[in-house]
Amino acid sequence: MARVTVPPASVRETFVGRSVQRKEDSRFLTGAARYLGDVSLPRMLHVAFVRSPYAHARVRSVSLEAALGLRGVVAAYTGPQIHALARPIRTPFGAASYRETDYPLLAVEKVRFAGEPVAVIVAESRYVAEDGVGLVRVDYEPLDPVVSIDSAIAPSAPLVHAELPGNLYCDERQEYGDVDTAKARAAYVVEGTFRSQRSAAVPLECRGALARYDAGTGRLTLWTSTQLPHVVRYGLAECLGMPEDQIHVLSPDVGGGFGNKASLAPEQVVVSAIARDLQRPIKWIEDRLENFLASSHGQEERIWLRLSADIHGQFLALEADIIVNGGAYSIFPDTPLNELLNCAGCIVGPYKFAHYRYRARAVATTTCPHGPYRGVARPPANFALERLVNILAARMRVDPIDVRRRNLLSAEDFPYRTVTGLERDSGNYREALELAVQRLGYAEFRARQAEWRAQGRYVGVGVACFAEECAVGTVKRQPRKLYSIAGYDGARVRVDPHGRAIVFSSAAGSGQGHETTLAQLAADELGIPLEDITVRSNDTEVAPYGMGSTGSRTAVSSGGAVVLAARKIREQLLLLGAHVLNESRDNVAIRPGSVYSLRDPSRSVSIQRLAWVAHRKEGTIPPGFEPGLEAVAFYDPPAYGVSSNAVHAAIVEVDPRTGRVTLLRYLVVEDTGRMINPTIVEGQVKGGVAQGVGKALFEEVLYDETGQLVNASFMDFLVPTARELCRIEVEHMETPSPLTLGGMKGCAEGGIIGGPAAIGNAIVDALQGRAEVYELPFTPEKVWKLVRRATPDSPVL
Amino acid sequence: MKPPPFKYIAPRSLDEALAALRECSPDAKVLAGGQSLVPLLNFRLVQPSVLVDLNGVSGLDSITWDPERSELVFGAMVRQADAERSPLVRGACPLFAEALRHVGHRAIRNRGTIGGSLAHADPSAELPLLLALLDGRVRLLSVGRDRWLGARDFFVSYLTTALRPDEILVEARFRVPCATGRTASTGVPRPEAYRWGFMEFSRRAGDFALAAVATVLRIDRAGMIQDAAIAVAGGGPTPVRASRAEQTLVGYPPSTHLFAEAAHLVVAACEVEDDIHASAEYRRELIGVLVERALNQAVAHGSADVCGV
Ligand SMILES: Cc1cc2nc3c(=O)[nH]c(=O)nc-3n(C[C@H](O)[C@H](O)[C@H](O)COP(=O)(O)OP(=O)(O)OC[C@H]3O[C@@H](n4cnc5c(N)ncnc54)[C@H](O)[C@@H]3O)c2cc1C
Repeated sequence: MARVTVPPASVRETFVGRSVQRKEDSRFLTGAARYLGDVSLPRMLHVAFVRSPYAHARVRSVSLEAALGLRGVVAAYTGPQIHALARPIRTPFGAASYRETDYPLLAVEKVRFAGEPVAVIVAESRYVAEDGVGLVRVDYEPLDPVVSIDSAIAPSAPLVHAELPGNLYCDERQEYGDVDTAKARAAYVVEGTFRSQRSAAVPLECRGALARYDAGTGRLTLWTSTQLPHVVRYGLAECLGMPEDQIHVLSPDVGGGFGNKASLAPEQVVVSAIARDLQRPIKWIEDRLENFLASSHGQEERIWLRLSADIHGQFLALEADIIVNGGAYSIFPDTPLNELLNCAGCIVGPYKFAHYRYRARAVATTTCPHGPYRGVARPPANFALERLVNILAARMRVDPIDVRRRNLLSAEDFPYRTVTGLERDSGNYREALELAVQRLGYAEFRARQAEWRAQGRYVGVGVACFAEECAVGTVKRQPRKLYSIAGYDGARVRVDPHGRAIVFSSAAGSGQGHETTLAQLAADELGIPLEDITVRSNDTEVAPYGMGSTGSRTAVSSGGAVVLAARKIREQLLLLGAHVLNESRDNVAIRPGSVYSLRDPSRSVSIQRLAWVAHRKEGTIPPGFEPGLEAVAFYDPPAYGVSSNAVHAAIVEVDPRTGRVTLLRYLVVEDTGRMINPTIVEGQVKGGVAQGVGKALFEEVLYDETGQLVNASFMDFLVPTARELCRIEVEHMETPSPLTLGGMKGCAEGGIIGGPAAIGNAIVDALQGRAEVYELPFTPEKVWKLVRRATPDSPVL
Repeated sequence: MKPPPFKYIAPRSLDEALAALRECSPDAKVLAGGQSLVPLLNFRLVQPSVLVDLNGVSGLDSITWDPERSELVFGAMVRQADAERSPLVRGACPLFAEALRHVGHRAIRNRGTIGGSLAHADPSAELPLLLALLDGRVRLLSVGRDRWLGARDFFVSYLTTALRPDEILVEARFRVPCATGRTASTGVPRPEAYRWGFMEFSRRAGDFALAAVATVLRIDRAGMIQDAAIAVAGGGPTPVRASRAEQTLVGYPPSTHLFAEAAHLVVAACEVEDDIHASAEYRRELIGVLVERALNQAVAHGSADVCGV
């Protein structure tokens, strides 16, 4: 499909497609945004949690007496006490081998990770609450920890949960096609075991919750920093034994989520239960240490992968054995299986595989629970597959670009559904690669590379291709029994008598710019200028039922709902406009600002005037026309989602003596379907790339062998800053999806996906293929060791 | 991440500060820029019952040059950023300014002090490294007691110094090697014929060094090294001064072979252990590489670029 150039804003009539300024930026940039920490209620109390210093221990006793004696401490609860007020979290999941376990709100009998909450102190201030924490005496009997994937599956491993023999949350096997027969034709078989480290999402604003219970109405309000207000409400209702409609969940501005705020936290339930018990507002603001220790981590996977190809490098079959470190508890609503099965599904990549089989296990360990992190499973899967494609190319002695050229999905293939049920609806898979090759100046680079090598400089290039599955609808979700997750989204559009519109959306932004993009969609449908439209979301009371914002879904799903709701209003405006203009319905149309006659376009009536009339302020409305202008709509995305696609390319230099890897260039060519706002798309891509670079070179949650998290601060957990990055070059292609309203696809996760493989491939290329990289992140020390190991029989230097 | 309760004292003079410390020690802590102490308080890793804040104490923030001893003299409360930007410091010892650029980020150096960094004694920190390299000394005052210590005696171990609980580090002096001791009309000292090198390896810009190496060399007209000093941060529980390596250099012209040998001796003088950031083996390798690179940088600096323009 041809590359679409986006015409400049001035010649476009629509708001969609234009890089209009973000409506929310002025408040964010001037410090006028309001976060959870800014919300304060009369009679509010604060909590601090007593957290386990041990990774695995029996809790013999908890003594709260000294803490309760401290001035300013109002109450305190142990695990058994809190469970008299609310139920532990439980997460069903529809997979045959999955076993459900309790996720206690506060530990009972046993602690299963360092940082697990054991008791909670309620006090007049957070300071006093923390003083109280220091006075709680817990008698622990330490047990053997189980930290790594390898140790969890060892035959002699201690059990984390009695209900999980072999420490297995699940053990799934699946075969598509006939792998063994297909392999018989293979000329090349390559394999490797790839490891993706434990990542932490580290949103700038940590999590938190403020609960208020109204004894008069029996209603609970929870202000909380979340990406999924409706899911949190569903989970709270279950744990608290309350009907959903009696719970109101809302977020003030959310300072980043990246998946870290897409789960129900025990702490959210605890403050709610205490608010109901004490009938006073209860606030918990997670600090950075708690966020590192006890929120959720993501993407820790061990992936064994084997790729078979024919003599021309055509892929024949794929085999995978995937293990996810699920941590101590099965998180709500994802469980560790979201990561696991996403990996098993998406590892087929942007290629065609008819023959594929996998085994997929999620193990329990005495580490922080595993939750979603931007890209869920795709960065590890892409790392394994795209590294292996390069290994195949090396084996074949051809350029890695050529192997991809032979195998990438092409225009004739669409629509294509992977054997694993992912929709490759449309895209520019091959064209994106060619554009990347061209923008890189690949051939010239190869020539320069040889010169640099002669000068003792080790510079290499690597690419990674991928498809980014997004916006999966309800149909594919149903067998998974994830009842808490809606799968669809809702929107309500209300036009007031002055012709201004409010869009209420079940999206839950955490900085992506939804207030702008959803307004752009509505503006085009309604003919109302962008500045007259506001978007309200992150609130179960104002938004229709819906899912929220995860999984690159908002443009498609919430966007689709906004378009549908706005179309209903549009239809009303047209009816009313026809009535006012004395025309038939078919003879009027909408344009920015007005409804006009198709027969005589000089005859028109403004949207403002129509809104005024619709609300019966003046003028007449057609018979049967309901007063007001308000509509609700729901949108269920395509059953198997849609896919964006991209190519990431990195050029790096390796210092062979220190192992330092320096990024020289980073290029992204991506096709995310119709772009609502190219600047926002670019922001999503670049932010994601920074996280991908973090995953490739810097970030890693480190547990020692006793299960202590040893780098739980921004001093030791290394997030790359602007100074570690290079300029990120982004090239857009735009193939509208035939399956979605407006042709949009998702772009929120793609940015992070390609970095690990592209940078890994570039490092190997810089080292002249004398060493392979299998383990993230590529720290200077690891690279230095590779260089040294490469020396004896295949000297790099 | 809230500090435990403490009493806060904000003296206006050094005498008041010393008296307060004497009264409250050993349970009092001095607060300077707060860039290390406040995080420790918030993690409740230190729980002093009294904080004596030096920020309101006058007379601790001057930077001067002592021509007699060829020393740069800093009051304890001189902000790292002010030292970095000081024309006096940049003129007398560009190495000093270059090393300071590596201390955290600008925002941290705006608050962090010369005295605080020395008293905190992180073995990966730049200022302790400079104190060791430049034969520096610190003045420790308490009620009725006034003493000077050099780097070797001041730094005891990881985050541990010879400071007593009732003492305040009031001044730090760094000797800038000057061939002639000549002072320019600007009042800025112009040491000659000394060249310097500074190499640091950290994972990200602004992080504490995995290792840093600073060196000062004097090379005579015949191209022979006449004088050498090498110090290492990240090479053990305290900053390391590598005297055997220094001696090896003296009397020879710079060469790859000579520098490799010096690097070998510097590494031998270090006591490194595995930590979460690096294995001992890797850190040793890094130190060796940085020594070679710092020495080469010093040579490359040439006579127009000597220590002190
Ligand atoms: C993100 C970050 C990155 C950093 N990176 C680096 C780096 O790369 N290199 C580096 O060297 N440092 C780094 N630092 C530390 C910084 O340099 C601190 O400023 C320094 O360690 C302490 O200086 P301070 O003035 O802030 O002292 P404070 O934090 O106020 O005090 C530190 C300790 O010294 C004691 N103390 C302070 N002044 C005196 C005195 N005059 N007499 C007696 N005792 C005293 C205090 O009681 C306390 O125990 C970093 C800090 C941060 C937050």
